[in-house]
Amino acid sequence: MSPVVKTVVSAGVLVLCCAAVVSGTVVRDSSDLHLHKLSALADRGTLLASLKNESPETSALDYYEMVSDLLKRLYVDPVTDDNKLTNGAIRGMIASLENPDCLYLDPKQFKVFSNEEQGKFEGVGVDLALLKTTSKGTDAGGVPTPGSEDANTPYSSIIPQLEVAVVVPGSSADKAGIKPGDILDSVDGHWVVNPSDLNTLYVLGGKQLAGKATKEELTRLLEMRRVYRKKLQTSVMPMKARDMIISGTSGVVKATWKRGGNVITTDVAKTTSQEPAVAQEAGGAIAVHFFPGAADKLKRVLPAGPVTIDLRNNDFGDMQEMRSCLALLAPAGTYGEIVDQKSGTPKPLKVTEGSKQREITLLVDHSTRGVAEMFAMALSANAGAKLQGPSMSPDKNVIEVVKLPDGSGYTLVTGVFSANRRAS
Amino acid sequence: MRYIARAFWFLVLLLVLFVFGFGWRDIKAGRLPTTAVAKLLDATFVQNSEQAAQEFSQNYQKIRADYYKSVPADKLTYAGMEGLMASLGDPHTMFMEPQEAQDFSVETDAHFVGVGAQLEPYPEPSGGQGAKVKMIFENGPAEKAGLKDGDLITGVDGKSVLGLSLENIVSKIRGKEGTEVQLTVVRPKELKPVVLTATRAIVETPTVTDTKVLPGTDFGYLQVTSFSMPTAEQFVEQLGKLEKQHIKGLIIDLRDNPGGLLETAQDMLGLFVGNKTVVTVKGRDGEQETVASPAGEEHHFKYPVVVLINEDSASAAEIFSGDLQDYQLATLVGMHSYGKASVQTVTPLVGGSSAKITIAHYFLPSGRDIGRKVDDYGQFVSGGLTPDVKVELNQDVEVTPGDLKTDNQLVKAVEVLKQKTGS
Repeated sequence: MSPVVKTVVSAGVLVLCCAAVVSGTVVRDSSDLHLHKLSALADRGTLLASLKNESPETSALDYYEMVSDLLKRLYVDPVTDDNKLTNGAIRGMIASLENPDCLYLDPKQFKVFSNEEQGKFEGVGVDLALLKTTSKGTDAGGVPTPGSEDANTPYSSIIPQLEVAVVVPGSSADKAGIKPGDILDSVDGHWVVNPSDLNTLYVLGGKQLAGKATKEELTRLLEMRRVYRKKLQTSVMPMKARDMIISGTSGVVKATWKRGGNVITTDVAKTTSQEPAVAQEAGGAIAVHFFPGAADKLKRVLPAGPVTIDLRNNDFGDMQEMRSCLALLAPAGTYGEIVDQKSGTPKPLKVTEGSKQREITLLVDHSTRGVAEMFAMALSANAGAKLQGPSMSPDKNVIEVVKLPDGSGYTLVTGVFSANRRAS
Repeated sequence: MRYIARAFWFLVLLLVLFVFGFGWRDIKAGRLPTTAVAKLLDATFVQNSEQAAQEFSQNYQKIRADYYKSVPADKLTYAGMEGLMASLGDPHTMFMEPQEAQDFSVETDAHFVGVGAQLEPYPEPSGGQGAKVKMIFENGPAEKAGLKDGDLITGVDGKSVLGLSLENIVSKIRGKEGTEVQLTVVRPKELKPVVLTATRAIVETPTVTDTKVLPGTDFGYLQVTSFSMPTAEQFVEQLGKLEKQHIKGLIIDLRDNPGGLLETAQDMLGLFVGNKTVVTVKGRDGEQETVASPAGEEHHFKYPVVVLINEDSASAAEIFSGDLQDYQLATLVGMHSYGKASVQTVTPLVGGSSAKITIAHYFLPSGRDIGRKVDDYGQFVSGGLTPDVKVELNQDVEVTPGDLKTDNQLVKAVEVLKQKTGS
């Protein structure tokens, strides 16, 4: 190689080396500042002003990109996980619906939930429903019952109570004597924040503000404030308390429950338990839970004549499975409809290939929820089934489960079931 | 063959230099490039942001389409942004909807167009609400019109406002500068309502309130409710009133003061001592910036000062009291403070909403980090300022802050001052 070529080559190598360092810093700058995105954002910014009445979808996505870019550019720690931002946004949207049947579930919670949908429980062997004290119930005849006295106070719609919806037979909770309808009061020494106590404080506080409180009420207010200050120092929010009860397969959880005016204390071991889809009861009734495979199992044990089906202690269930069970018990026809409050066109719940009409008795109570309650209402209103027991739960929501790519997910109420009576 | 090997090693060299360039900013700032840099490098080349944005959009549309009730587009968008910003796990990084954003700026500016009266909800027997006058601002339009503390506002511009929410009533009273508003007012012991006319003007919210010499003592008391734009000025004005009465000690009540502007903390410290570090701010690049108090603004306090703090004293209020503690200019009495050790910036967004984002951490002059730590249940573990004299508020009685009969923390503050003055 001639000296000239050598000089040119080494100069080239040097230039390339410098270029590598410089391009490294440039890429760092742009990734820190998201310069490429920012210029795009500026264009869109001017566009937004003129497109105010454009489709809202455009603006939601614009907002998303605007806010996440801003965070990446300004936040004190590097923001690198876009999926975390998206999941946060979905969690926020679901929470804003303020519906206890619309829940965002993180990957761990979602796994517990998916198992429960198939009758496989962890924790102490119960499911805890989020109960808002404003909700109204229906009695066995489908007549609405009034909500509780707390209906008009502010905390009822924000903070739910945790009510035992289901106790798995034979589970540690069952052995410890926990019953559907019990309200969770504390877990492992942590007081579960609940709306009714907060409401009492609110009402008394309001009276005091208006100068209308009696001397006894003022004394009570001060005493309550003293008690709740202590309690709040060891409090736990409902969703966290729920996780402490319904997930995990080892250890012992100490809990207190409110039942009527009493408080019950339990020490319960966490383990796994299984709720069978179909079970024969001692009294001759068949207990049915609408887990996958329920219809097939019901078919095998169904007697030819009159039948009694126990729908108590019934929370989770699959809509499709319920429809198949309906077809085993009743003739073809329409058994009600699913109404949403937007379109105004209800979707009928139809059975196309039904069975012979028969005498049906359904055992129901407050723990007959969701799909089981729909089943009971459909049969009693349209197939002459007899409902036996006190009023059912207020829960007739049709729920869709959405799974997200990272294993988390959410539930969404897509309609409300109504068992319209056929004209006689 | 030799050339291929050479070319390979040359490429490796280039790559190493590139990574060096990428991490240069950290090296310059005197720290090793962390794993966060590796992550950033990864995020720069593996773009998952496009996919994540699509996922957001799909679920947004799904909720609007499939939820059984209709959900307003803006409400859902805002809720999504709230959740997005909350996902960082920092309680001070948050999205503010247009109304919140507006309230927030009124709060930090502490001036707006109105009549200059603070109202509180008055529960109606029928279940609705009215508005009761809680405080009249000095020299404001309401004071000039003759409005008094405790008056009940039952009508605005001749129309009844009974049963309306407080926000609604306030928005009716506010309006353009220079216009008139008629207030129908019912007074506790008068049968007939009176109609007062006030001219709307720019009013400053008093942030230094309840100024008084405590009965039976020579000690002045004033309550600072927030650190907004006019606070330092209002503080000097109120202090002047107290000093005319020859006070021998001062109690500054910063309990429940959520803080506000850093500049106000600077100005407030400047009254005590000039040209001193207020805080050291550490930004995301590890670069440090020292914020100092202004020089030549000293007030020259000739008496001991006690500052009252509690768990709801935060941000600028905490910085100011922490500085006084570090420079031994005052004694802190009460309970530990909140423990907010970060600086936020507010960015206005399209449509009137805004984003409040933590951009830096700060440290007090002594170097302490007062950042709040909580356990899995959200309960306080450590952080905040530790008071020199710890005393818990006795809430077994109905407490009125600033009242020696019911406020035991104030009683303690007086004891401390008595010790210091030897009285």
